Amino acid sequence: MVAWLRVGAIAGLLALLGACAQLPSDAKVKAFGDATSKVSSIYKDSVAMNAEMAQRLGDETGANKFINGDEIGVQAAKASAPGRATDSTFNFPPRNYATISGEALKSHGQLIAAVGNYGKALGEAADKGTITELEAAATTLGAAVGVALTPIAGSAAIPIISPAAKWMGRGLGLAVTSAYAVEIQQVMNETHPVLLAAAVELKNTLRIIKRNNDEKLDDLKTDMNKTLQSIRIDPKVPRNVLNAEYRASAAEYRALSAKHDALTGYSQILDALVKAHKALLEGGPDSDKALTAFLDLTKQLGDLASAAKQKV
Amino acid sequence: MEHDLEEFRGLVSAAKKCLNALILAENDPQIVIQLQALQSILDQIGTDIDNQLLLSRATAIQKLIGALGGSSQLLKDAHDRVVELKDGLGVATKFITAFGGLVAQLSAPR
Repeated sequence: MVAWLRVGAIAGLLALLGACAQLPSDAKVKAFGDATSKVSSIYKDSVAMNAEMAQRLGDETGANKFINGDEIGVQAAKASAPGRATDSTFNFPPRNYATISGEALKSHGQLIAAVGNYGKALGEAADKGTITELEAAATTLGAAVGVALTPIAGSAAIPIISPAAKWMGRGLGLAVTSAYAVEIQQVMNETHPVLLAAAVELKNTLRIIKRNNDEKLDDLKTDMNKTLQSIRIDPKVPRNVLNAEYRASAAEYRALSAKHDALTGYSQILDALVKAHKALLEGGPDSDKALTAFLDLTKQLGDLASAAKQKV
Repeated sequence: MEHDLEEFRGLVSAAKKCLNALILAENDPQIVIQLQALQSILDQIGTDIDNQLLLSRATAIQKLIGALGGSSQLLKDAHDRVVELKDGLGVATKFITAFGGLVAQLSAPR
């Protein structure tokens, strides 16, 4: 009898041990992982925007050349190659402006993917479903042990052995979960400085892309202005055409600006991502706040990017 | 090197701003076309520098990718072990249930 009480006490101790270390909330980690993946798609959109604006700039300057005719260019071409046909210098399709190259962005894209994969792995590791199944399997095993031992221990021990074995199983399950939680937290702990360094690198990457996009957007605004001016000074262009051209240019510029705004917030997302990871790791009272801030920010920027995509 | 590139890039940005102001102020379409050609050249120079700046971080970034990949693998391994353990417990339960049945049969009064 005393022996079975001991078993019960051990089972209880195991259960207490199980309660010592806990996995970060699976729902929160999963949300963190999902949002990390979203960061990747916003990054891709931002890089795509650079190529899109390079193309638009080529179109805009090409249109201006087409509308006005490059007389100076024609004269220069005639001077350098006399006798050649140089009645027109505009190209079709127009030549795109320069873009941030795929080769230069290769490792940066891989880093984004690595952050995304880490978020995914963290989400899977903290999946409560697997842990619940493990604990249930351990409890079932304990119960099976109790049933198997009953004929050996004798009928008098049945009221003690069955619950004790069941609790032992449950204790075992919780202990494994606890060890697992410690392992996950250790990985998160070791990864945190890496994630921090990755965020710094990616912020620098985005600062460079943003600057390039900023300038392209400014160039485009300038060139759109000049194209509109060229149309307006032509007295043969009807007012309704002028109105339509102006509205089309304004809508296009607004859509591109909205996309650009999505890129501007990317830096904040990376800060919030690191903060949320730290909060998940520490599990402090601010963890909900940091995670919610991160998720809200990601959602807002994601919505902004989607809205911008629909506009174009 | 990186610092020098950044400084030169700053000059290109300033030049681009001035050039765009010039384009906006210019009324002769022929000159605007020439200024736009210059705009394209300045954009090419600026973008080339940006590409160089991005490429210069490749080695440091590869190290981070390796470290993050290692962390992801550790998480996957830990998760796989839990899944294996869960499956193993299921097998053990079946075995012990069968064993219990056998013991019960053997210890039943004849």
